[in-house]
Amino acid sequence: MPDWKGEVRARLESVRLSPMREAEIVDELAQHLQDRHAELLASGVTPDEAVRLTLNEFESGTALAARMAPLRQAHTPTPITAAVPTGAVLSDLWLDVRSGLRQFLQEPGYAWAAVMTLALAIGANTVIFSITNVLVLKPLPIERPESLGWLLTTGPDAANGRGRMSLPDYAAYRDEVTKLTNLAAYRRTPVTVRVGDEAERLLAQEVVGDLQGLWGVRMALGRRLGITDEGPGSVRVAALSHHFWMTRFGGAGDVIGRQIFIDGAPHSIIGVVSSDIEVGGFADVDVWLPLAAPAEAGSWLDREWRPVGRLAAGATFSNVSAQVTAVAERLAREQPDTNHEWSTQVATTRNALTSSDDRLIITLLVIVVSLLLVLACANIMNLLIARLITRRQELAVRTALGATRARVVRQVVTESLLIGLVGGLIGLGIATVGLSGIRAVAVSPFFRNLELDMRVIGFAIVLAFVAPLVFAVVPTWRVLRLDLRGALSEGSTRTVGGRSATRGRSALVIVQVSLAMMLLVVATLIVRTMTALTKIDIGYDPASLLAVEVTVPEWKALDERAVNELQRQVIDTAAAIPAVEAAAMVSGLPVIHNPPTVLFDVASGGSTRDERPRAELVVTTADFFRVFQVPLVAGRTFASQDASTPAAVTVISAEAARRYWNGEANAIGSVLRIAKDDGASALDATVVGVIRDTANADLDKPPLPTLYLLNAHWPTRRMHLVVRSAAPASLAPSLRAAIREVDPDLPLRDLRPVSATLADGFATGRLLSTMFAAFAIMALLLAAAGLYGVVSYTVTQRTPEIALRLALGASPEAIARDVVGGSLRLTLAGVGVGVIGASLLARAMSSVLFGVSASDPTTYLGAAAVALVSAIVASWLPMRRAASVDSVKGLRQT
Amino acid sequence: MSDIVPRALDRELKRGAAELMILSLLNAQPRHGYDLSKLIEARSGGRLRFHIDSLYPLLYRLEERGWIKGMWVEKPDERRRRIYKLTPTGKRVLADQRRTWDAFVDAVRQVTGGANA
Repeated sequence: MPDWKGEVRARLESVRLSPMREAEIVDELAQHLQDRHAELLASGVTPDEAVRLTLNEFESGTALAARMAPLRQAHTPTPITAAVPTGAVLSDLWLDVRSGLRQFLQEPGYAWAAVMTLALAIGANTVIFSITNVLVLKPLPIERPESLGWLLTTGPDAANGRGRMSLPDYAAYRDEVTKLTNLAAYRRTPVTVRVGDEAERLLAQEVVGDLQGLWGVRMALGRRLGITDEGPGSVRVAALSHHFWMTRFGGAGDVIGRQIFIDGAPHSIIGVVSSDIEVGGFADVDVWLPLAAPAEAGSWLDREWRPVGRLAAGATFSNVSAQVTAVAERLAREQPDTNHEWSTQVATTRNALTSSDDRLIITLLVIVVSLLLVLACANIMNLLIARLITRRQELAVRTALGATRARVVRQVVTESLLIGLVGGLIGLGIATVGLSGIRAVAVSPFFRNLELDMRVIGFAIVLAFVAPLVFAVVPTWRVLRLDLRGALSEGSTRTVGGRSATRGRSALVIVQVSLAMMLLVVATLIVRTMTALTKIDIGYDPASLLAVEVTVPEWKALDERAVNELQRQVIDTAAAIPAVEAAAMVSGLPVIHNPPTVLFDVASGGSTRDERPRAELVVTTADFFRVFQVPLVAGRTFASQDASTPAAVTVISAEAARRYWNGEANAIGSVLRIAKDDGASALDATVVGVIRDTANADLDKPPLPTLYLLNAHWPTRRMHLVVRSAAPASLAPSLRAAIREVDPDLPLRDLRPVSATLADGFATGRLLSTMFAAFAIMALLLAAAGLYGVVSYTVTQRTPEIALRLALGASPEAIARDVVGGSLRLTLAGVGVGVIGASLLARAMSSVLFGVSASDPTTYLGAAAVALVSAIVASWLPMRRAASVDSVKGLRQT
Repeated sequence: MSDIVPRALDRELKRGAAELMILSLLNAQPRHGYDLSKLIEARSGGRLRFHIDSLYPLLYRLEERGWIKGMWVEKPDERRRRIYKLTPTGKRVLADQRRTWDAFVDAVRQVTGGANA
């Protein structure tokens, strides 16, 4: 059955009825048609014929409107009769809202275009705000963060200056820097926690000093960890994180005093840390532990600790800085093996918790989504202007009836706020979907902890209210400035708006194209950086490798020989698995883990430079190079008998040979003296081979000199077992079983293909570049839509002129060229402005770029080409329309 | 007598004949629009038919003049319908118009009937 109401409504379109009256009439006439139709069907007419005959009830498409026209009810001059300020603000508002809704229903296309444009922009802004929220606005719940001083270190090869320090370092600063009180430090360390019979690998926040007191950490239960809990003599205690308490103990209140085993040693639970600390990286901490051994006894090489203290009364950051520098210089002098060329800086809480690169990226994202919002507002503004021009008569009638201009503006603003409200709600939905997508693909705990909290929702709501004000007030005012009274007599909407309105909309398009251009350039640079990083030759092929971290715990109380023997057994058992081609252990996976740096002296042979040579130290077992297939440059790799001879041998990287021996030929046979981290003894090792460099873990930095030593000569408890196999992923269960067979107590961690771990390292970069690319595409679409709107509007306005030209003999091709030319001119202007903006943005972001320069011409040309092609596509339809203007009809419009 | 084509009738409407028919029908009892159109068609033996886009504007005009009044009536098991009834003003107007119409018809008949008689 046809839509009878639709039939009637279509015929009433031009009649100015009040909405209620219109609805009544539609109802009444539709009912009439329905009765007629039913009757025809009942009389045996075929359904098709029945519809045709029913529609014959209408004399014509226009008769109804024509006959309604003389009636009083057809002259409801305004959608709102109370156009005159009544003083009743609330009822006025209600009328405005009703009228706004009615406008939407009448022009759903316009409403949806505006709402969805805004929703996308608000969604994007909300996602980015939720990142900013965690990173900047919602820092850790630390007491008086402004008076905390954080110690960051910079080593000889550390470019970012965000290094940590060793425990003995910490002890020195704690004792000597008097301007920082309560200096405490913490590190993250994996531990094996056994509750009852169930053991699992968890993340501990190990603290030294009164860190929880310093931060004012709130406890959900029990007491904080304190200094008295520290050291070998004290009873071993632990505090649980809130989430661990909930998942493992079901939030039981009697958990205090219970015993759990951490790395085999019994610990009694003294407290549960409140959940408000679970922000960013702290969300992953499962247990808090006090340091068990005295800080002074720690290794100078293990730079894993982040110290933080409270500025003493009256102390300033520069006071502290002076003291800190003095200590750093003393340590560099007195501990040259480990502290030479290391410096220490005092940082504020904000700088300590987020790096400048992080802040740069987030600033860029904020800029990008803000531009997106501006673009969206510009588009809606364009829609609004076009629509206001067609509604100008209505507005004119209302002003004539006594509505003040402010009242009319208010009406339009209310309608815009409705767009904002609906757009904001949908935007929140988009943000929810976006965030869950990000959580699903992100590896970094930072992204996995993003959420829509009240603050983020509040932000979206504020945007939903502010954005409409931006895009509504200006166009409304523009239209009001025009002579509305003229509109009444004019009766035509075609020429209204005039040249200045067109100019305004053209300016908007230029702004849009330039913004889109900027976003395109930024996104392209980020994507190209990401691509360049993934294309770096890391020095080995991770495809066939499966790795697992195997730690021989100290509580097994084995001596170094026994550790080596156990590790050898594990390797042999793994190598015996049929699918395994080779197996070896290594202290850190190349490119994935940052090895410690050691200083060494060349005891005999070779030329040394003035400064003491240093290198990254990688401890391996004999088959390491066979498993990783790193090519040999000179000499030989480790042989299996090397491990059983007391004289140590070393293999060095090509970069080490180049830097310290002027080439591999000089290096072979040279003997190194490597300082051990107890500070007293040293290891002499003969260079037997040189292998190719593997990439720096900071992919955008050049490879560092590296020394490879056997674990037989440099015992190491935490190693990664790596096996080579054709199908590494499917091997995981049998590898786990094999290790369990050797010793079921060995804690295993991160059993997965090396390629997967490498991919995780790229996950954040890929996520960020996907975001930038998505935003750039949205920007391009918005700009193209804006351009389409303007070109299409211009063609409509110029139809009589085009018709005249066609009548005078102009070819349709010439007209089309003219239309496209106009839009290309606008686009080129936008591209020009965009290039300038983009180059400013690109220069600001050059520190995060890799493999592409901030002024890369291909990027700019490509972005400009994309913008131009989009412009041509956007003007295609209007161009076709212009070229096919019927000159007779077109001329009649004049 | 040949059928009166609707287009011609529409012109007549403006002259009041249609108004008179509707007022007369409503004088007998309140009716809804479809009822009216059916009645007119039936009583004229199918010769008079209103288009929907003539009938309702006419009803609305009569309503605006205050001669008839439409109101939505809901009956159990039936759709809501807009029923029109004659107002007191309407009754007076009808009486007036009938007199005028009768006089007019008489006059016409005297002119034309005289020839037949």
